[in-house]
Amino acid sequence: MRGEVLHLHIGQAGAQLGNSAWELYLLEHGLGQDGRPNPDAKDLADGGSYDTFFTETSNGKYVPRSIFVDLDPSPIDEIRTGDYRQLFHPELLISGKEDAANNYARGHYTVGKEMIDPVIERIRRVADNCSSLQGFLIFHSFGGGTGSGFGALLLERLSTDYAKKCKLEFTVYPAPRVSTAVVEPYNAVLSTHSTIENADCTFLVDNEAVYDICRRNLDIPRPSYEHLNRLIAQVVSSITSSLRFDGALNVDLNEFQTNLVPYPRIHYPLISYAPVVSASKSSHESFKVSELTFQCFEPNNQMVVCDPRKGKYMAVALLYRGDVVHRDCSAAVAALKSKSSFNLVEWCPTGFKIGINYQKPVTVPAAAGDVGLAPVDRSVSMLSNTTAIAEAWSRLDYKFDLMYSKRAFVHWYVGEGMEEGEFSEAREDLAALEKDYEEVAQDSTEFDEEGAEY
Amino acid sequence: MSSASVGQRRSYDGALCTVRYIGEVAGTTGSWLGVEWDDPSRGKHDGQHKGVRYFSCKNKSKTAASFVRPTRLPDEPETFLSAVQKKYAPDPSTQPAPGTQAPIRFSGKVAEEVGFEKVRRQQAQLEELQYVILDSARVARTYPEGEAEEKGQTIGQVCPKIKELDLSRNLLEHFDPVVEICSELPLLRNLKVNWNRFRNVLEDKKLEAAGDAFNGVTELSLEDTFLGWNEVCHIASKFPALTTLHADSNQLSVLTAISPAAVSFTSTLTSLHLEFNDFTSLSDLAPISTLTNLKNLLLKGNNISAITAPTSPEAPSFPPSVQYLDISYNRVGSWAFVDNLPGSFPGLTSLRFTHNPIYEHPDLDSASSNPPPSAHSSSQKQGVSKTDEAYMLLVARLPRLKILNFSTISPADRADAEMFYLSRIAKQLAAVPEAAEPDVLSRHRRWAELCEAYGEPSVVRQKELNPTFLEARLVNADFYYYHHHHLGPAQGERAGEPKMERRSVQIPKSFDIYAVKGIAGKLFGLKPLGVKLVWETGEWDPVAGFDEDEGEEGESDDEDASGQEQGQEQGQEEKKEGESKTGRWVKREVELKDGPRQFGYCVDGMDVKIRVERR
Repeated sequence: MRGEVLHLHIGQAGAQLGNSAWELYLLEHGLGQDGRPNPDAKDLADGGSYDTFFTETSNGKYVPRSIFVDLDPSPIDEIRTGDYRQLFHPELLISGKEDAANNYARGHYTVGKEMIDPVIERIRRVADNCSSLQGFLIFHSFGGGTGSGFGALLLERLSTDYAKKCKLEFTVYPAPRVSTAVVEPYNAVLSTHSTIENADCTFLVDNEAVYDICRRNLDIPRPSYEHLNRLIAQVVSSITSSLRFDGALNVDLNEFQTNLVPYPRIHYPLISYAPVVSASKSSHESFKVSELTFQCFEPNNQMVVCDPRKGKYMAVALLYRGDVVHRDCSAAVAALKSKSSFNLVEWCPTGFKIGINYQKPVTVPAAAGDVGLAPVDRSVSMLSNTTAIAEAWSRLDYKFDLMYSKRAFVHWYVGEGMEEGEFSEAREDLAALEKDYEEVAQDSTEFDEEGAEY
Repeated sequence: MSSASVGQRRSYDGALCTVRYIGEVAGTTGSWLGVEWDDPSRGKHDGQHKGVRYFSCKNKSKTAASFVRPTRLPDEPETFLSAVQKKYAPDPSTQPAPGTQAPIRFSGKVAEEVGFEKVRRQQAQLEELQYVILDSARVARTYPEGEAEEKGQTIGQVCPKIKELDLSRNLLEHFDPVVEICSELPLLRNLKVNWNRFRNVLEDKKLEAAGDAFNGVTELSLEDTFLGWNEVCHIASKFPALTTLHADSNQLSVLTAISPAAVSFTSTLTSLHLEFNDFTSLSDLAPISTLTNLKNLLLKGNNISAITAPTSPEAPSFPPSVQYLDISYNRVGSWAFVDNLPGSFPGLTSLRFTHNPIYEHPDLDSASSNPPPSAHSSSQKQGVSKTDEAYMLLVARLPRLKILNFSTISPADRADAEMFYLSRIAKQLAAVPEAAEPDVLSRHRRWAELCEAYGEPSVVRQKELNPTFLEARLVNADFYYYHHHHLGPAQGERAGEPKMERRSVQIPKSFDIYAVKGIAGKLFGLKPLGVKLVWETGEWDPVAGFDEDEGEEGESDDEDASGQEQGQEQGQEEKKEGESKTGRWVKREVELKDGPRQFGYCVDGMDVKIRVERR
């Protein structure tokens, strides 16, 4: 048996994302909204291995191994009263009384400090019930107060208490167009600074990129958070499917790291997903494996806005899913090789991996005319560690500098007991990160000259 | 290789085609095969070569056909089972096992195929296969030529668990292989046979005798097959449990009535996809009304611009079960279409409407009746805000809509949209003379209803608007009047504590001064002829040339104009009151003399301040 994985959903974004993700997991495993096997569940090749993500109770119910935390009661209350109220263990839905008000300092210090011990206690209880815990999947946002502040705090604690366990993050990167707070760049920089040492691998999801995908590929003129979350859930599901179903690549969380992370700090892979098509479009396009593979390399299908053509790939993992045969994969990758725009660095210890998961992708069945992700026969998600993602950091830093040069809004943080020095420290750390990416990219150019073999 | 025959399906280097003509072509030697390619851009003409028509294509494209030599070797057709085996369980002797072939390298690194061997083994268990996709696999028939039975293995033995089968883009000519295949797959639920060219569907014996071959199939795709609607219905009628039917891209332009023989699926079908066909109005789809259980109707990418066809004035009426209509990428160009939608779709709650002319340019409609010259050009510029506008208007015009363009409409959204719509109507009303109001309102059916809900908006005819509007010709006159404690002669202005009273009224410019005086008198309860009106311009004039002393102030009448050549007010009587500031400046005031002169010519500007004095 594979080890268990514990999901942690922190803050509003984390909770809502978690809701969408579990919704999809349930469908994929053929479980009903209350966690019992759904007799009507169709399309199930096999239920997969439940026990990595679910705990089975004595009465045949499967309870998600997940903890939802928010300092603000309302997002958790929505779950407590929503469609999935029967699903989650009530003790694992934890809400505070006072929200973090989009303030990293509140989430990390004043308000968060009171919550952290009960949360750690619950985590310990869940972990103690596992036979061999693999690690944690942590969902949070960079922009909000709870997600950034409390998330960072929790990661710090986890890295001391569970140093050997794997900690993977799914992080919502702030986007100016779908922004809720003006201090998002502060929160993001501060949060990155304090999590960079503690998380093993962080998958960034840029709200703006997802928003654009919804508008462009799904033709939803006014995407709501639900649309964004459903799409992100697809990606999360396809990345985690190898943990839940019989696949070969990344059968445990540690492998993610070893495949994708050449240096501990360079742990922000770029996610791409194909195909993204609306429900009423799918049948008119054929999704050949090679087409899907190429789509993954297009900026339009990325979850972070950046231009990979400007960077170098350090590691690539292609996760195929559904009706894909080995021959098609090899042909697609061979075709990819002939494209000169694809650069893989020479020196890097990690490489190019391809995996197939025979489990067909499932989509949340759309009520008539509702959110329309098309059911497709096959999909590809690509995880790539590319230096181009540094663009996202420099964008963030720029926005941080704009405000910080005038010390705007800093008093809200200082008022919560933070020291101003932490701002400049965090900013320097990010500058160092940008620099790291730069160096990694530079190194490769020298080799590239010699090693070019196109 | 069997010799060619008309209607035969062939594949040349993976490009599929149908033989339409066998014979000679003028100006060349030898015989040719005239073929219609499945990919309409693949060919060179449409069956007409150098002015001679040899054959015609089903596809309406101009470049769907070519001539090829019959000697050119087509790709070998496959049987169903051989295609399944080739794809899912390639023979290790002919196919290199994974890992043995030369690895693909990127910059010197091997693209590592993790666990392919395992996946391959898993897939090779054909008896466990549930989803089979055999697109572009050149499948032409079920069993090898000759007698199938002696081969031993039937489809039912090899892969009995297939639930979904995709046979798109193959070499199927008749429907009977499909019947044969499906009759052995009891679990089959989803069948796709897109991009095939079936012949003689209506006479197909096997199809006629299909029996329970398709009993479990709930979803059928017949896209891009160029089958007529009656053929589609004929095929669909053999599927007793059908809930979803795709008949997209079949160049359908008018649906004929569904024959009673096909009655089986009319009660089960819930989703009908007719995207990318050639319908021009909803009347073309009238026969659908017999589908009593239909919930979703998808008409994306047609040419629909009207509800009724020019030939049949009666609006079609679809079953009330239809909840969702996708009419994006059509040619709807008027709001009247939207207003009439609920009439044809009484149960409509969800709509997709993007990419219609009216959605991109919501002003189009109003422009047709009273063209605001700038509106059209600006609509191109602000595409984004215009579609937001269209969204609001659509929501407001369709009161029962719950979902539009995949976005759920919350009650707050609806209230917003309806108020916006109401203000829009008010704006339109303001732009027309009152006589035309009923005309405008006739285009807005929900006017009365919305007025009741939100209150009637005030129709403001704004002043910077069209100079032909009334509001452009109104002057805001601000009258004020000092009551005196002792009603002495007018000179006594300064005496006592005057109590000021003010009144504002709007006066048309065309009123003459008598009328203005009448208004002023009425406002303050004075006799019109007993008052004097003084327009205070609020400007200061230099006192040039002569020194006036206190004595001049008060009454000193007109005609004194020696120092006051400013005379902007042509020929007006000017009068100065010696509020001399530091001696050399006076406030310019103008008395409005009795006379038939129009008020608008006596004063300047749209807001004037007028002092009323007793004479």
